Amino acid sequence: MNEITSLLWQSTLETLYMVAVAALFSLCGGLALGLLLVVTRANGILEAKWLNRTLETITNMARSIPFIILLVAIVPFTRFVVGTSIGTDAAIVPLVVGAIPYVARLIETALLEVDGGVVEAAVTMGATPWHIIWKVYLPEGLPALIRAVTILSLTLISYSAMAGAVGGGGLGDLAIRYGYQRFRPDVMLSTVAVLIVIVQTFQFAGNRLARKFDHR
Amino acid sequence: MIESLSKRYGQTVAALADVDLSVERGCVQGVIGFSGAGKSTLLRCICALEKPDEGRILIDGSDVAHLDGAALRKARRKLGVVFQQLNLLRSRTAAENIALPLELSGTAKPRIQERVAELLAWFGLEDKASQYPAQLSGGQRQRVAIARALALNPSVLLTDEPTSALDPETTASVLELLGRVRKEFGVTILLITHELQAVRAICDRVAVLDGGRIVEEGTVEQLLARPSSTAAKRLLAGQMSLV
Repeated sequence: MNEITSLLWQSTLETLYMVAVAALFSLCGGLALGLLLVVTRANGILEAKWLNRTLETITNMARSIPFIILLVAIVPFTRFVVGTSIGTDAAIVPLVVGAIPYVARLIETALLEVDGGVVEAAVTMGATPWHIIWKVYLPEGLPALIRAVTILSLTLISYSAMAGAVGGGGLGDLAIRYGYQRFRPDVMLSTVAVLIVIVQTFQFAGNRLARKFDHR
Repeated sequence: MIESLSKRYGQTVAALADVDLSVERGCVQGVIGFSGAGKSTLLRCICALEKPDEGRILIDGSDVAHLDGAALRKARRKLGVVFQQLNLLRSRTAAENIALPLELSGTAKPRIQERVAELLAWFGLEDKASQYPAQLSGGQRQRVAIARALALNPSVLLTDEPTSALDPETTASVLELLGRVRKEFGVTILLITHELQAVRAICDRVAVLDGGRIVEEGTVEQLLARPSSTAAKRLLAGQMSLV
């Protein structure tokens, strides 16, 4: 039992580390890409047809690569960035690359929920595009953005489990190496139990936070 | 103020045709018409959300139809808009909503606080300062929207159907409020509506918009006593049948 506990603890920390760092980086990239998708679309505040079409295409292409393929396909890039292709740090690279277009779509959807009339009202007050992003889109879309971040972290947890399949560490790695390859159903079950607890906690916290900022 | 303004959608649909309208400073000008008459297009052109195909829109001498970028943003401060849907920010309290145009114009923080407090007091909203729009009544939200539109001391206040979503009692109080706003802020008010009641209550002059043209323009008394256009006659008849 003691062995399982220490294994689980170690793996949980690895998973949380991967998810936290990957969430941070993919959020930065995804927020920028998502904002660009929103402001450059037709009738957007910085309408730019060609840029929008290009970003749309890139986002869709990136979104259509299955994560498990991406994981192995970008190994040379991963090696270039972190110097190795094995371990938690190496897993973070494909996680970020895979999550950026995904986050961009989540952010885009969240921001498109912002009332167009409110954006127009700000325009008539003499707001610059920069003002509109900072004072209208982001604060007005905040509850939806928080929900998007919640979904992102849950997705990253499940992606990080896949990264475990190629030696990325974390709970997925533990479940495969001990639970599956060494026929240890007890390890397998306790891994799943830990994952359920993590997911529930994230979802609960996300909902609470979103509600706090929702003034509908 | 508005000179031979035209706006077409596509090749054939003329939403506005050769609209001329000049409004005297400090006057309350109504623009009345049925839906589809071109009221919304006129409103969107005046607040420069749409570019007209022809014509000029002069507010305090600057033509908002032909300005861009920073010059347009600056000219926009001369115009306060109260939208039909109000378009208050859900994420901002009443006070923060009123502060928004001041923040956008780069007003210093202490001055913003001062001005917001002034407006809250004038509109009787002091105790609602930290409430979010969702917590306010329709009439209170309307007052916040008007206060926000007046924050930068514009020379023109443009109101779009200010009373159409309100019950009769609130309608009366909002109209009375607009009357007081004109007197105390010395602002020119352009009121776009389909309701004769609103025009009758506070407008000095009224223009009747029909099929994208101004078919009649004069004092409210003239319109009520001797309507010359069919649209005006229909508006009056509609009013009668409602009573």
